Amino acid sequence: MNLAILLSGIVLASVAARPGSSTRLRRGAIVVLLLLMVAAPLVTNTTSILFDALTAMCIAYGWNVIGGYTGYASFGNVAYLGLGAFIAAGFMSRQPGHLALPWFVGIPLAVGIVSLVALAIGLAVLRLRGHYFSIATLGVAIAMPEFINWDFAFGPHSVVPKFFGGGRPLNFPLLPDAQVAGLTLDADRYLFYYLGLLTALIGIGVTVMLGRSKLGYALVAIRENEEAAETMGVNTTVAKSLAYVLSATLAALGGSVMGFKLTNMTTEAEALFSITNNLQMIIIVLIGGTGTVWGPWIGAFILFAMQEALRSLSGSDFVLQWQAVMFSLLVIVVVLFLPRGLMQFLRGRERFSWRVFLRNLVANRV
Amino acid sequence: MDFVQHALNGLLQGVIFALIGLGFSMVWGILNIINLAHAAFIMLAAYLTYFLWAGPGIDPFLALPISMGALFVLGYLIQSRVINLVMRATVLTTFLLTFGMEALFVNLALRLWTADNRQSKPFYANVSLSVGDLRLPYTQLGAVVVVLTLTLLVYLFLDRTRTGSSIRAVGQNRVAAALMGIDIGRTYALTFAISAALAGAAGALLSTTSGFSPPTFGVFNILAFSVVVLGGLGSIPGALIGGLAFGLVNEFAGTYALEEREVVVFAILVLVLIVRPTGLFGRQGYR
Repeated sequence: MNLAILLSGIVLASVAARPGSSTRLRRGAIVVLLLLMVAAPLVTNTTSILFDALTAMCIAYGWNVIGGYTGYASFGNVAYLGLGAFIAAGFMSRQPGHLALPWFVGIPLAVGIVSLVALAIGLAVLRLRGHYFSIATLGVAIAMPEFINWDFAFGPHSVVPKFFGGGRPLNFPLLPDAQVAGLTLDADRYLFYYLGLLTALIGIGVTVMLGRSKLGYALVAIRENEEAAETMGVNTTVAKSLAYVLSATLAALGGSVMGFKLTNMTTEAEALFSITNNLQMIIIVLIGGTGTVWGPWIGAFILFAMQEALRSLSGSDFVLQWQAVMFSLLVIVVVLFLPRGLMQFLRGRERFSWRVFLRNLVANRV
Repeated sequence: MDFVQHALNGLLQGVIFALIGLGFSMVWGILNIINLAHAAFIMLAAYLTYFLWAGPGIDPFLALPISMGALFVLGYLIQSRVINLVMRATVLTTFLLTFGMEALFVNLALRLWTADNRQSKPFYANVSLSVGDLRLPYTQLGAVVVVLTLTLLVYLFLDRTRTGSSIRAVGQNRVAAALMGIDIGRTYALTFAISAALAGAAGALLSTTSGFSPPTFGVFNILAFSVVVLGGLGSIPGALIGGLAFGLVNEFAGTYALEEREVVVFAILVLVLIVRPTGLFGRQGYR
């Protein structure tokens, strides 16, 4: 059932993304897609894979801003994903010494703090271009988990004592099942799912607005030729900083909702900062097409449809064990054979055929 | 005395960092690629050396040519068959490609060889030469000899041989070099292969000096980058001095300031990038 929802989501998004189809058809596809997403928990038993796809999509939309629109390879967004989850947990936990804020206060607060952190880091790393920027972001990804475990700042006798648990488990509060009009709504199946859907909609909404804004054009100009953009009066440092902060904000939003559902932040801490999460956002954008509105949506649904299909064929242990290997292979294959993503076909210029892959492969050789 | 010992430790470590930086710097300077799979090459060589020692019992230092040769072949194949296909694409492409390779090798290693801590331990491993109160581990002294020899060989190769000149020519001006009849694809492959072989040597040395598992290598890409930035891109003495300087700072920061070395590595990188982005001996390309 989930597979069917994911596949119809891909088809609907593809229709919506095709510039060739009429406006009415595209609007219709978007409305049907929205209805499908809202109705999904009613027709399927478990929504957890859809939740995973939607939060991953939000994070991928974040990467799309910096990697797709701006053309800067950021390998550090996973740091903000994890940091967002930890800060949200720090605010929302009911353990002693924590504020026990409700989620609709805790998560936005955490996301806001992460964007400030990203701004501070961004001001340092965004003076750098190309290679230098990417490596600096890689450094952020490696340093962030260490920072969270830093005794000086977050140890038992420190500035913010045990905000991140101080080596002890840090838990999100459990979300109770809701009672609406006499019906019991299971938290995992309904509440978390709609929270995930909300993050994905925020992700695509931000992207749509970005595409129409002056900032969006500035970012594309930077991607195509940074010197030229600067000459034309684009303040590249400001534009890049905004892109970086926006990207980190979406990562933190997706991450904190992901963490909220995981509940326990100590054993899962490494999973949040893992290379799998880092690869996942990049591969989602690449599959769909970098710098596009619908690319991450299609990419996320395809990636999770593939995992769901694999899981039903060979069991979830297998998928879990080989997930990282699979993701890294996908990155290599997509970069080589389909560098512009599936959008290359949807944009209408090229019909789907295997020759396109071969042509892409040899397009940029020495 | 403590201070002198720490300084020595830093320098001994820094020698291997220099070797890592040298290989990384060649690919960056000549191919204009940040090879994020460099750390994975080091890892592969470390495992190869370990298995050669643990299985047939070949001494890690004697196995050095084997791991270097294996990585040379691997590097040549990767560049000529794969990366050469995207050399004219944007910087983002080669970044993502090498990032994918790095993740692929590391995760395959985790699946195949697990995250167990390993170390090649010939009889002289973890044993030190004592000079007064100072202790100099034999494996690290061996590493110094290996690194200095390899650095000299690379210098002579680039400076004195015809092939070396063609590599430098491609680094300076690709189009002009092609017009002079140099096979660009082959030169790229050769450069990448030499860089991988140097990473292979570093991996072989690291497998004897300390314990390792696949995740321990993750930090080496940033380390290599910092060493190159510190020493200046395209300078062989620069890589050596950058490596030594980095080793010293890493050791002292790790001892006196912070336990988390990753944070130190990152802090140094940011500091260098802000203060002197062209490095201490910065020039453009190998000239």
